[in-house]
Amino acid sequence: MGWVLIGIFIMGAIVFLVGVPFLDNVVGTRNTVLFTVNADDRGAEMTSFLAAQRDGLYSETIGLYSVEGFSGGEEIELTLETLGWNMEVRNGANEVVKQIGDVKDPEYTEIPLPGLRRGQLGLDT
Amino acid sequence: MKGILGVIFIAVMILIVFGMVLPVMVFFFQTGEKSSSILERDVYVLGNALDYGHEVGETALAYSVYQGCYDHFQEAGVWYDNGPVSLETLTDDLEEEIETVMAAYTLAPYNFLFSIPVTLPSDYEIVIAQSSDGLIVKALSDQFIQLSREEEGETISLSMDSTLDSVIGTSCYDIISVGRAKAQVIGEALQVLVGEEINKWEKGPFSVQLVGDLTASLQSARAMGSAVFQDVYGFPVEVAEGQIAQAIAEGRPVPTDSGAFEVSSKNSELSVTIEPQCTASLEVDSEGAVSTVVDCQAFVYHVMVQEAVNVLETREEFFVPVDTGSAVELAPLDLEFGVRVGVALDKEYEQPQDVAGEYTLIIEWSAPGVFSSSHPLTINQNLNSLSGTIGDGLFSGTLDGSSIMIDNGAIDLGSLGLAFVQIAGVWNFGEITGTIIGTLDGEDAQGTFIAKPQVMF
Repeated sequence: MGWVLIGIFIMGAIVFLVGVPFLDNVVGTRNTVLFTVNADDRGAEMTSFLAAQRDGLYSETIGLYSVEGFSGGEEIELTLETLGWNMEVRNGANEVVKQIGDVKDPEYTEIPLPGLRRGQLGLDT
Repeated sequence: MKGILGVIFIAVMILIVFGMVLPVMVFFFQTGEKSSSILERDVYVLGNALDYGHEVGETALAYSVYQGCYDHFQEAGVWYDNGPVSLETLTDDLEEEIETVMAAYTLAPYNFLFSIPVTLPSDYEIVIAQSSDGLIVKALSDQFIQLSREEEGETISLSMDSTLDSVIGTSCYDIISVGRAKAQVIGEALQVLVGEEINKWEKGPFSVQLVGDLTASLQSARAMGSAVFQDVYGFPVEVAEGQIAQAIAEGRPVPTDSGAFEVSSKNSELSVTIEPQCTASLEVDSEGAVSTVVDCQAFVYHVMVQEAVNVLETREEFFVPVDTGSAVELAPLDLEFGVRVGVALDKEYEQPQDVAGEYTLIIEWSAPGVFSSSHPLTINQNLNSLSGTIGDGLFSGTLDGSSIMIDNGAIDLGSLGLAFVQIAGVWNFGEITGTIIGTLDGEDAQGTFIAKPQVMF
């Protein structure tokens, strides 16, 4: 009887060590979770970046890149450099009006621009 | 040995059983696990999208304030029309302009990560107030910042409070304050200038006897008045009108700059018309000589003068990002408004009595009962316009010479529920006496009053 219990214990261990990862892979939850984390990170990064504030709200300053005569925004460049992120701003005509860093795989989101316009912020994190 | 074989046998059996059960578990649990994960992911992502919506709102609000101020200042209207426009009116007008721009910004949803449309209220009500840190701007709406998304038959809808509350570093309100103060200074100076100029000219009545029968050429009151002016001054009314206009043009008040704001003005309208109120009749004397008698009861002097006043921000750090019509650029706020003074005088212009001050108002009531009450009275004055407080109640009224009229509806006198108040008083050597009528707690009330100036030690 003792041997039987030992056998069940060993099998339980085998199922725990092999079965759960196997199950995860089979149903795809691991992939989903990984994908979720990536997407959530980007959404959170985008939101956090827009909400950042130093010498003015970043989302407001970002829109100023589309304005003639604007020469500020150094704090944003510094932040991007520190984080190792890249950014581009496009105006309503989808023209790039500002690019900071080498933007390769940006996640775009719509933003208001001064003068009753809209544009896109591309953030490559 | 037998025991070990038994264990191996059982282990193999368990593996076989798991091998059969696992695919079945996978089949049944796969959909649920995935859906659950997607839902969790979506709620999380959509939560970020709502935060994004709030940031979009804050940003659109700042841009709306800039554009709203800029647009409003381009055609700000008349800020002094024989009296100053209230700050409340100017604030309301600006709030409306900002609301219009904000509504345009929030007309369509904003796309978060290009796939999640976030809707902001399109009916924001804007409330502004000045503070030492900048312009406090609140955007209020009963609607929510909201979004919804469908995934595999599941609909997720999220919403959050849409109230926006920002302090915006703009000189918009400072310019309004400076502009309003300048409007009052220029307007009052113009009123005095016009009044004093008209005081130099005769108002009538006149009676002039002209030789001969001139009735054919004196068909109109203006022609008659002109003939009288010719007789009195040696030139017709047209020349007088020109001289008055020239004097006003030369005496126009020139505004001074205010801190960082350049203030300038130019005349945009100046008209002077003398309206004679005359009749003519023929007279024949005993010797048969014919003369024309022109009787003028009065000469009414109509003067309309309007100044276009400009207040310009000169500090580059306060330039605003706006669509100027030719480009979207950083531009200075550039306020232009009108100051208008229009009079029709047929008597001497009198500078209004200075009645402003702090008084104690003592009312002797004769109805609905006989009693007396006492209330603090504060009178603010702008030429002939009066405003102030009686107790905690606000009032507005007019001054004509030394006569004061207040017809104000309800005035909250604390314990006295006074309504439909009409006050008629006369200022005399610092005191105001007169009558007051209205209703007290629904009953007709009337009394007499004396307002004594409060002596400050």
